[in-house]
Amino acid sequence: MKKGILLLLFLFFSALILADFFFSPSVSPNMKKTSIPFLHSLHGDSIGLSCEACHSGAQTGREAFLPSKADCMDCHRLPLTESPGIAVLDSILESSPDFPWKRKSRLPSHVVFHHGVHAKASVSCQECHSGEGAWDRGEAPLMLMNDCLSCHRGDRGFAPSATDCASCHR
Amino acid sequence: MLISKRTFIKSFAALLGGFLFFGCRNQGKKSRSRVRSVSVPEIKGEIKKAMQNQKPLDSLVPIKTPGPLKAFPSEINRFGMAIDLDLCDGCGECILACNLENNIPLVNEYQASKNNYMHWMEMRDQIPVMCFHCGDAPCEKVCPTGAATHSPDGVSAMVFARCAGTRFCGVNCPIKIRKFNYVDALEEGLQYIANPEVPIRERGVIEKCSLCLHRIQNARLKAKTLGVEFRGESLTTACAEACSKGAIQFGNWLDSNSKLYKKAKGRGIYTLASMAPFDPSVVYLKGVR
Repeated sequence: MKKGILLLLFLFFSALILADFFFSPSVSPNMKKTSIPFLHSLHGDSIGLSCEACHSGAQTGREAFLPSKADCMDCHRLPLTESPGIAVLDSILESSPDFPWKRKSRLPSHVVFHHGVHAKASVSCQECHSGEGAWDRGEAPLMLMNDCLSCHRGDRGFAPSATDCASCHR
Repeated sequence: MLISKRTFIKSFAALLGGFLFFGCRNQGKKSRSRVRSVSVPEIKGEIKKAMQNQKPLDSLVPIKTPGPLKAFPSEINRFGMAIDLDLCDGCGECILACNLENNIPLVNEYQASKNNYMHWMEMRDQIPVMCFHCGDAPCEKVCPTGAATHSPDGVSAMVFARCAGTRFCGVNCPIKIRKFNYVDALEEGLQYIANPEVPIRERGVIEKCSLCLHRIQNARLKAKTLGVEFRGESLTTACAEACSKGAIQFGNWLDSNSKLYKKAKGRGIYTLASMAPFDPSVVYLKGVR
């Protein structure tokens, strides 16, 4: 009798966990897979490119955009190093579509976020988007309203900013 | 006994698990397969229907020029509008412009038969009426979730994502201009989708005129990025833009260079009798003082 109840409970909770595992919305961003083996750390840390170089609009615009193939080709038109990998990369770039990366923002439509305003207030990209290493590992940080608010209240070392709802919500 | 207790419990648990799976299958991804965008003639038809069956209007009473808000005395901006009743002939162009700007859905036949439309602006006795963005708004005081809030620059804002649909605010509004979303417009194919700047509201929230808050926000963010002072000079609302008689003027009550301030100067400033104690930001102009 007791065993039966235990089995029932076990089945019930495992069903809940399995259902959660299969049907919960994914945490990773809605990113199209690309064959280009791009590494943020190789471009940022080692050769010192700013984020704005590829993600145009990150310093001044409302949205930061993803680079097109033409942006890659600005530098990759000629073989850049002696490394044998560069020939492989060039051939992949050759065959890739004009816009290799497509991404749908996870920002809900009732929130407005302006990259330019935050850059103007000298908030670095890494404050919200974490470091280059995280992106290379395929981790995309999830920003919640509390993360916005803690900074806007002045808890993260920046000057306090607007916290009334209608500043960001519409 | 036909089956043993053990078999019964096992099969019952399996059945329960199966139901759980079945019930959770669409969680997190709402099906939007039937999304149909409404055409402009349909919206025009609904506005015409609404204008044939207008609600009565309070009497107009004179008030003072809107000044700084009591809650935010040091703010330099208080946005508002003035509707010149000497120029307005009640054509309804502003309602159409508002509906298109704010993705306002149509209503189904049942709501239409009860004269409940989602229009944020409506005609009452041939006079356009919308949320007056009271400085001392009675709706905001009764909101249990904080969805109805006042921004420092004078907009009585609705945070749709926070609204739980108690409708207290709608009841406490003296002119009952807050509209409750009874219909799932996306599901019923009644949603107009054109302006990506304005979110589509879900069923079960209160909606109302936002004073084109998205335009104010975009202009403010741009000004801040460029490092210039934001007074809203180049801003206007969709209804003001659409009015062919120039009867509606948007502007900043606290800026003496604002078009609104100049237009209202020397004019008789009126509001509805039931609104007079609440310090409205949107006023009517009539005659000269």
